[in-house]
Amino acid sequence: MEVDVVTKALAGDEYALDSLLRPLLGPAYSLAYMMLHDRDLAEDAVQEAALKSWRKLSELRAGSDPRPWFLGFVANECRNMRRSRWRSVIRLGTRDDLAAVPPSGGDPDLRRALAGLSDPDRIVVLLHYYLDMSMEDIAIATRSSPSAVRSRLYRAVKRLRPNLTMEEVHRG
Amino acid sequence: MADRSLGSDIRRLVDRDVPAAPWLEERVMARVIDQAAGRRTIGSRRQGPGLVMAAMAAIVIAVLVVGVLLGSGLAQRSFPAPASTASPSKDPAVIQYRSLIGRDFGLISNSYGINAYCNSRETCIAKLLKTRTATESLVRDVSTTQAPPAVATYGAEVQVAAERFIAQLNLALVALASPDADIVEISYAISITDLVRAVASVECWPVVPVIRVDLPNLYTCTSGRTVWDELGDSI
Repeated sequence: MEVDVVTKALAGDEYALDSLLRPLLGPAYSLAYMMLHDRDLAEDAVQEAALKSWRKLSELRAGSDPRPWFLGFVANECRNMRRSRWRSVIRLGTRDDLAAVPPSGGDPDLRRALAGLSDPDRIVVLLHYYLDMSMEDIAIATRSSPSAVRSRLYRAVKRLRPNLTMEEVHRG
Repeated sequence: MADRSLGSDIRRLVDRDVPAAPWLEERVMARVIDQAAGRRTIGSRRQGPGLVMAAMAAIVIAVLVVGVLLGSGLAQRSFPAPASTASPSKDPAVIQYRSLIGRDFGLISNSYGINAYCNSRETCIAKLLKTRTATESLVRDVSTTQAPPAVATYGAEVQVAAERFIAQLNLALVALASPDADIVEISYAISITDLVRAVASVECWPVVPVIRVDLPNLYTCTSGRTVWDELGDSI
């Protein structure tokens, strides 16, 4: 079905393009927001990712799931925005500043710990635990290998929940 | 149990922390579909002003308007020609007038949109001062140039919109003089939309620019509907 949608989208079928991308935008925005902690930047990241993914739509392999492919663009945009000097200095602050985002309820310790992770670690945690993505799909999104994702996830989760075992992390 | 708990805790945290963006899907899809269709557009990030938003629009506007109106250069090579059934006027006088407005508006867009974001009071002030100077040039050129009769009305609208834009810039500059100025709040009082709309009317003539309801800084000249059709409706 996706192949058909991609083919149609490439042929200029607006409905197909819409049905391919639209369902991905909500998760993409949540991911971007949790990476950037700024609504405007998160929206920009999703928009840029959508435009770039359309330009590279022909690279989407036949039959493959568009979600990890698209979220890879989002993750990349977030990385670029975080690297941008003024954003990191003025808008986003340091990682400590992110951790100091005023809690709005929930688990403030988890929020602080999540914000304290490095960008690559946080992306992997969010993709796995929030978007329920497999190691293989996360590897596609992060242009990495499943084993590297597995190691990164374990390391990150140990910082969030030091008591979890490797087995529990990968079962989660 | 602990691992399941982590997953549900993270989901709860994200769902709680991420602010709603109900307009996001429409805005993004509109941009993607416009790009996919290769339509010539002038775009903004979303409805609503704000330096952040308007500046992004201004960059796109600068490239497109300058490229289209001046009829040469990188901008024109970078964007496809409109696939229109009715195209903007080929009248040399109109083309020359469009070039004048396009050149001035390109400078406004560049100064308003340069760096895309203004991130401190000082950079906002510098950006707005430069934008004001560029807008004053547009007003001066439009007021001292004889517009071709066909677009004279629209030329006058450009002048009015530009003067109003200057007034907004002046108010913002006064507000920014305070060290405690709220940059974001002030930015919401500035909108380049009306000026874009007026410039679009000159650029597209005799085609009527189609202004999108959801994205008022985004228009296309490719409707095939002309000024004469509009007049026919009102007669």
